Amino acid sequence: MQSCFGVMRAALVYGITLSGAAMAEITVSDEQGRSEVIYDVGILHPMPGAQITHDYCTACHSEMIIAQQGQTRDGWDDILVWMVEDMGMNEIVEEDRDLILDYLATYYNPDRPFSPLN
Amino acid sequence: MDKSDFEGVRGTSETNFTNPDTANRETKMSDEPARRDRRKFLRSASAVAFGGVAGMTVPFAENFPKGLVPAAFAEDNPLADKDGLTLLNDKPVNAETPAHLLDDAITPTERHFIRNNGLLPESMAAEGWTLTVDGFVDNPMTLSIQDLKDQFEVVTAALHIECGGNGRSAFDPPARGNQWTTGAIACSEWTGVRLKDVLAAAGVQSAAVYTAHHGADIHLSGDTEKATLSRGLPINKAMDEDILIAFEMNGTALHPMNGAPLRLVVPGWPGSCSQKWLTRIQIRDVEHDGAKMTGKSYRVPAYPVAPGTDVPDEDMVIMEAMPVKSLITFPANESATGLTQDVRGKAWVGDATVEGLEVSIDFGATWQPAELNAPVNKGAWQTWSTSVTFPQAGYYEIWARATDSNGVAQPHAISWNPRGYLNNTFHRVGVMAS
Repeated sequence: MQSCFGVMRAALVYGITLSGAAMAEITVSDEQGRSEVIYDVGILHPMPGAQITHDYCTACHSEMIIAQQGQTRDGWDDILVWMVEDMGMNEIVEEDRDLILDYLATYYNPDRPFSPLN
Repeated sequence: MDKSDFEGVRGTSETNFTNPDTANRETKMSDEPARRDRRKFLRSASAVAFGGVAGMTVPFAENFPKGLVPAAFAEDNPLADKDGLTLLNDKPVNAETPAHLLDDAITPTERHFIRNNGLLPESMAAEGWTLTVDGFVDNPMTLSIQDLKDQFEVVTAALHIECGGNGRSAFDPPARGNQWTTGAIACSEWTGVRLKDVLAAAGVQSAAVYTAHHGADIHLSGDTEKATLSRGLPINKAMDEDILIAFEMNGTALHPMNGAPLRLVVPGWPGSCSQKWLTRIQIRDVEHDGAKMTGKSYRVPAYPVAPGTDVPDEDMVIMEAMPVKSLITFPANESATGLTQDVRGKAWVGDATVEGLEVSIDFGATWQPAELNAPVNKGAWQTWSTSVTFPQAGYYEIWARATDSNGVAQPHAISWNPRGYLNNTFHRVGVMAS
C-alpha cells in the first residue's frame, strides 16, 4: 500500500520538479533482465514496457484509468481491440502491441498489485 | 472565491496534472511551454473575473456566477470547485465522494461526484445553448434555455443520481472501468422543467419506443463524428414526472463537470441516462443504439453467471432501475467512538421507495431498525439515523441494510456481472470503540 502511494507521490514530485525542463531519463530493469529507459510514465509502475504503454495510451486518455485495472492478458487484448475498433485508436504495430500487452498483463493483472486504490 | 482560494486551485492544478494528453516525448517537449502560457492566461482571466488581480479585462465579469470556475479553466484543474473528492481519472475526469462527505441531506455541488466519458464541450455558455426535440414527434422543436423557462412549469426537486458502476472496485475478478468504491452517488437539488411536459408539447407519436439523448461533450479521440455517450429511456419511463431537464443545481448554474448549462436528471436509473451538456432528445421507433447502449455497456447478463464468465453480447440486457442501497455517512470509517454512538446515513432505490433500514454491529448476526425518513419528494434519497451501543471496548463494524417497497433487501454478496454494475451490497464502517 505504502509503496504504491510512494510511486504516485514520486511521479507527482518528479512532474513538478521537471515541468517544462528536459525530463530526466531513468533506466529500469525487471526480473527477466530486461532494461529500458523511461522518461515519463505518470503513475504507471516504472518497469520495462511502461514508456511505450504510456505513449500509446495517453494520446487519448490518462494513465490513471489504466492503473486502476486488473485484467488478464486476454482481458487487456479485448480492451486494445475495443480501442482500435470502436474508440478511434490507430492500429498498433504488432511488435509494440506485444510489449504493451506483456507490460499490462504483468503489472495490472487481476491481483491488482499496483492499484492506486490499494 | 477570493484570490487565496484561487491560488489554492492553481497549486492543485499543477500538482495533479502530469500532462496526460501527450502522446510522445516530442509532443510533450514542444507542448509544455504552450500549456504553461495557457494556464497563466486562464489564471489571470479568472482572477479578474473574481475581482482579484488587475491586468486583464473580463467584460462581463459582473455576470459571472459566484463560485463558478471559468469553463476554459475547468479541465486543467479537474477538481476545481469540488471539495474532498477522490480523483479516479483526470482524462476523462472521474471523481467520487468519500461516504462521510455525503452526510448532508442535500449534496452540495462541491461534493457531487463526476463521471465523464469524454472531454468538456468547448463552450458551456447558457446564452445561445439550444435543445432540439425531434424524431417521432408531431412538432419538432429547438428551444433555448429561456424558452424552456418561459414555456414550461419550472420545478425544483431533490433528485439522486448514482453511476451504474458504483461499487465496481469490489468485483472479483475485476471488471474493467473506473474502480468506484461507494461514492458515485449524490442527491442535489435540481431546477428545471419536466421531460414529460416537453415531450407532450412535442407531441410524441404512437410509433415512439425509446428516447435518444445527445450531449455536446467531445470524444477522447477528438473525432467529432463519434459520440462519447448517447443513451436513452423506454418511452413509458420518459413520461415519469420526476425526470427533469435541469438548468440549475442547488440554486445556481450547473457545475461544468456536472453538465453545464443543461442536463437530464433521471433519478433512480443508471447515471448515464442523465445526459450531461444536453443538446438533443430524439424520439425513436426502435430501442436506441447510441454510444454505450449496446454490447456490454450498461448491460448485465439475462441470467445468473459465475464470477468471471464470458457472457455473449446477445445475452446482455439493458439495466433499468437501480437496486436498493444505503450508505453510512456518520461515523466515518476508521473512527474512534465511545460505547454509544450515533449512526446516520442515506438510502435509495430506483422506481420504488425504501421501507426499512437496519444496522448491525456484530457482522450481520443481529440487526436493529433505524429511523428512516420518507423521501422529501419522489426521486430523492432517504435519510436515516439510529444509535448503537457496543457491549465492550474493541473493534466493530457497523453495517447498514435497506429494504425496498417490493420487499427486496440489499444482499451480502455481489451478483457478479462482466462490467461491474449494480453492486448494492452492504456498506461497512469499521470503528474502534472505547
